[in-house]
Amino acid sequence: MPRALFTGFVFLSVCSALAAEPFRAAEFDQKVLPMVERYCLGCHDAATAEGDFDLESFLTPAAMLANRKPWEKVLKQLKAGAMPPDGKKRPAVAERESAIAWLERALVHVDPSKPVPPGRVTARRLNRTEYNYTIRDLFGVSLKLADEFAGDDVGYGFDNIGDVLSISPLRMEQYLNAAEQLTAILLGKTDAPPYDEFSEGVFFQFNKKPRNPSDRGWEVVPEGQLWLDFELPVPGEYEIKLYAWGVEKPEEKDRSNNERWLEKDYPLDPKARPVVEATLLCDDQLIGHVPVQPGNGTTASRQIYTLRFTAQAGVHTIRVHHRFPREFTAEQIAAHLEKPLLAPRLGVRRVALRGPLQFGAAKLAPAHEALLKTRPASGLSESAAAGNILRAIGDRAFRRPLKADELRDLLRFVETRRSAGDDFERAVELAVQTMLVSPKFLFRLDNVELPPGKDDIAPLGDYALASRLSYFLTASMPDDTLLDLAAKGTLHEPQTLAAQVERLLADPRGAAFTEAFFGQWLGLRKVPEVTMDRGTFKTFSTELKDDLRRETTMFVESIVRENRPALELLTADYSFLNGRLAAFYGIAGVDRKAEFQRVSLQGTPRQGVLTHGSLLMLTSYPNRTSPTRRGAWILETILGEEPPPPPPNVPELEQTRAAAPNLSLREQLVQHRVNPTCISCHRTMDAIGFGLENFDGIGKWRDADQGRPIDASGDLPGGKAFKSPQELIGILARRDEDFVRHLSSKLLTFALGRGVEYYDRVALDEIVRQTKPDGFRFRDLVREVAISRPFRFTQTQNSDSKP
Amino acid sequence: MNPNLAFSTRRHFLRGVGITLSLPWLESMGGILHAADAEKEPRRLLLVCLPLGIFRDALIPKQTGIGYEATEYLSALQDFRDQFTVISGLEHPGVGGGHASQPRIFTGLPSAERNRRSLDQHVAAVLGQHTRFDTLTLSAGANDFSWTDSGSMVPAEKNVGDAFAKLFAEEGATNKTKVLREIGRGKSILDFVLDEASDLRPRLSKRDQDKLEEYFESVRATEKRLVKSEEWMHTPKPQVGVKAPAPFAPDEIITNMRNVCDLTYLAFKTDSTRVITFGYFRQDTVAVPGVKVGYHNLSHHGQDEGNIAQLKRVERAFFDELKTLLTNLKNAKEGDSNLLARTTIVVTSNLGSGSSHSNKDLPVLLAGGRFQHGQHLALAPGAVPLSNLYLSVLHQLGMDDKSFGASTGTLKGLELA
Repeated sequence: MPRALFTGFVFLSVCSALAAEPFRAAEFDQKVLPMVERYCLGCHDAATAEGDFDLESFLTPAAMLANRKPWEKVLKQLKAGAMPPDGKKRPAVAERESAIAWLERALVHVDPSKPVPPGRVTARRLNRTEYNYTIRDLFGVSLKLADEFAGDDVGYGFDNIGDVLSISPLRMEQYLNAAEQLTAILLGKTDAPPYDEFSEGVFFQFNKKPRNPSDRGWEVVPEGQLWLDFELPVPGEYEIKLYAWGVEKPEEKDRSNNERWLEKDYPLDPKARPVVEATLLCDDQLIGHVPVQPGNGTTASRQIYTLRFTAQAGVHTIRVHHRFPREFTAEQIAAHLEKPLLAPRLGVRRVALRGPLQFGAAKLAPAHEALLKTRPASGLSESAAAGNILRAIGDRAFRRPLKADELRDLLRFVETRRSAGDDFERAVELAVQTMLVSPKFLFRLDNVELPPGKDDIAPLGDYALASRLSYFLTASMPDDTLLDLAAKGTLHEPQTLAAQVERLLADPRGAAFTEAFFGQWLGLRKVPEVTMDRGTFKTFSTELKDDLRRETTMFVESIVRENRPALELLTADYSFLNGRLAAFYGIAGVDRKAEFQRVSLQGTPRQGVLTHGSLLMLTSYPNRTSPTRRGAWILETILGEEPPPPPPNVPELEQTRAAAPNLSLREQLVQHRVNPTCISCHRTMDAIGFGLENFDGIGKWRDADQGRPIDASGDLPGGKAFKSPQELIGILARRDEDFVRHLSSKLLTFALGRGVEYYDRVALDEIVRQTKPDGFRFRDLVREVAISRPFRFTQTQNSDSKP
Repeated sequence: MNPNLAFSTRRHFLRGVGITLSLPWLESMGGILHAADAEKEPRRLLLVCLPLGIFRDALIPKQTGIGYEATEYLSALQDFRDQFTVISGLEHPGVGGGHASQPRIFTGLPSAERNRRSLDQHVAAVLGQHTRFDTLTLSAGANDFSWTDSGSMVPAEKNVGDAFAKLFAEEGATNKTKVLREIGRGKSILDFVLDEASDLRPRLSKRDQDKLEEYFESVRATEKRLVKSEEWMHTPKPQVGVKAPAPFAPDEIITNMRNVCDLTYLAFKTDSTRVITFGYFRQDTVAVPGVKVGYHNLSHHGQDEGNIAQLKRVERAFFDELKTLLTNLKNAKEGDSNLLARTTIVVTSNLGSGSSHSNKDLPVLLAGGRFQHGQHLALAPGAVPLSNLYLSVLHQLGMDDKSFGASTGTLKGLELA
């Protein structure tokens, strides 16, 4: 078969360029039909339907426009040059390209005489992240109850897609259990305090190196500080226990702390004079000072100094600071600081936290406060008290005001439980549990609020919009600001939405967006699971993997935070590295012990995420790079041009290798794709992947592989040749509109929780158009998604059938 | 640092179903008081999947029919040669996508359709009536094989110790009245949400309603389980006189498999359930002597001899454990028969070749039950759906389904004994 037929994967997307030309459906009969009849229907007619694919039923322009999915498959196969398969008659290049060009426009054609459909999002169950964050914001707790639930279903690359998120009887039980655990904790009636954790002193971070470390602890020197993060699940009063000892006259290499010595116990004198003190802090809040008596690592198991403090739920840094005894004069302290290593030391063995023992003076979320404290009293009937509690919770849990009949039903339920013998608190608690397992809590029912009417398209209700925006950007329920704007009915106004986008992305809760979106779009969530062969990659370690993931995470965070042009994802000449990573990348000028910081990549071969070790590793095999996987990943993730799946019965590369073991990887791959069906896709995939061959399987730069110099050159269909990773990235970056359009479609998918449909092309065009003048800045893209028509409107049940 | 939620929850009985009034196991087993006697001949089903494939040359014999020469794995099961059939050439039509085919192995539905209704969940509706648990989905590393009628995955009990506790552990002196009162409360909550959420239905689109229907189905199923557990509260949990499995490291795939097999045996023997599903899998390195590469990577052996040798060690360990399970079942008498004769066992994989990720020509080992065993039934690849075997299994279990999954009939060449 002549080589000229295989022009390879069509690398230039034509759709944007030609979108302006008028579209004539009738051209189908000249541009597509003859080719399909001649080359496709032999196998894909209704009777044969090879591969379960019947094209015969869709052979008119109208049938094509009404059934675009099968034609999208046709387009993909044509673009890839994979169909008709090897050995069958194939259309001439011109014929094929003309059909491709026409189909690319036809398949995104939207009838201009009708309003553009905004699509309709299927009721979305809260995924695990959303459940945890919603409970957190509803009750002011940090419990992560959903971590116990089964994993979420994934569709279109994301775990928040209404059509695929399912619910099972088991999950229902888990919801019941979670609701029960939660109300028990909120009411403070668990058998034991919900939090009871400790950490050994030696796991703490420090400012001055503690001395004489052993498995029993270590000694903090003057001005020394230890700190560690603890995540407290509930607001309230916690008990903190410090297991500590004092050393009045320290010695270096004190043997009293080492294993052998410890077998003998050390008599504790309860009346001994304290020789040092410890200052305990929660974040920067003083918990208290405790005088510490002399002892050692062993006696510290009995030298327990207990204090109490009040804290909100969430992550807190617990700090233990060295302090001289209170009776020391300024002169004494100054003298000790002259020779700090001889000054009294604070030995720290362990820090334990338990609680809450009571809610005390902790500030509670309104829903929690109501549940815990509202009780019938004189002037407040039982039903009024129950009503107050249920409203305080329901108005938030359902993310809109509780309706009168809903409240009435709940109150009736409380009455029923009362007459079944439950006391007031128990009856209300059960009513709260019913809310927490109700579909009105567990699902986002965007369309329920719509006024019944004849219109096919309606604006989303403001409360539904508040939820949409809030779950998009914070993976959680709307906060009071959003609910207030919804109550006022102004949230849907574009400038209001735009301001809220800015506010939520700046909010700490906005980190949930970055984690979920980039974690799934780029695949960062998968990095922790990557295992590489340590024999091949000697420098690979879990620490390296964590560092690499941190790099990309900080990088994308900065793109969002600083509203950088989206294209910098590919081209940025900076990244975020710590000392270890800088050394790994071979970048000079960063101290080996340095923390993560912004580092210029100018003058290095690295730029943008394609050269981040995290993603290079993710697209490699455990023992070698995979140009094919890397190329496929870039086509799919960066450009949205997913190659079709490989045809069945393709020989493995390893078989090729076994046949010709002396060839380089590049030569092997060339051998591997002698099959013309394969070469069409592989030519592009492999070429892109080879452009990154200078980066080994874990992302380290190399000039040679197994003694052979790396050849990172390639050429892409359309005569685009490159010689290095930088040149390849340059070629990709010139397709900025394609990249931004694809990124926008990913954002839209994630924001809406549904797959992107052909008619969304109109919204995507608008997003691209609006953000182009200012260089496609990332937060501008997010804003445009939030004010786009699919985000703010919905099709009503009148137009229920899938458009 | 995660909060350690170390408090008891009152509705844990939902998972554990009830408390035990400790009858000595021997007494209850010796007298065979369990539900098996309610029917003359209880029938059971065990489904096992190895989602990384089974190295073909070590399993599928070169010869067909009765006189085949045992392959490496089959020779491990030599004692049972006339109690199993090895079947080659079956596949699920329209199921592709490499690993993506995994959840469809026991449903047989094509990739283009929504996955639902796995064989185990389907038979459980009937076989589960007489036992404390309708089905058990266990896991020797993999667990997405069980699917409800409405298309929700039934996640496995990942921790074999938890599963053991669920089946056999007493819950101390838990007050039965208290638990029953909790069941009453649970039922009232579910009643309320069913009733209260029904006002949503007329306002939702068809697709929303389908989602809601899934929700309501889950609520009703949970309610049914509450009712069932209420009933089982009056029956003591069986005492097996065996210690709960000790914790083990995640890479100890053999220990995991052994524990799951032991639990399978005990669950069948005590008639705690008649339907069990599990998968044998691990992504990473496995603690199998002589194996250094991760199991998944090994499955992509690329015909490399070193890789294949290691892969075979991992798979051979599976067959060794399977042999122990078959032996235990065979030795367990029930009436005038034994558990093996009354348990249909399907061992298969969603990959015909782990190395190329092919979903064609799937390996099948069918053991136990009342089939005429002892042969290698070799079918022309691509001609017969695996679902035909499932339909044969259904009929053998006493169900009268006309079809299952993508079946075109029962499996020809496989006869009842």
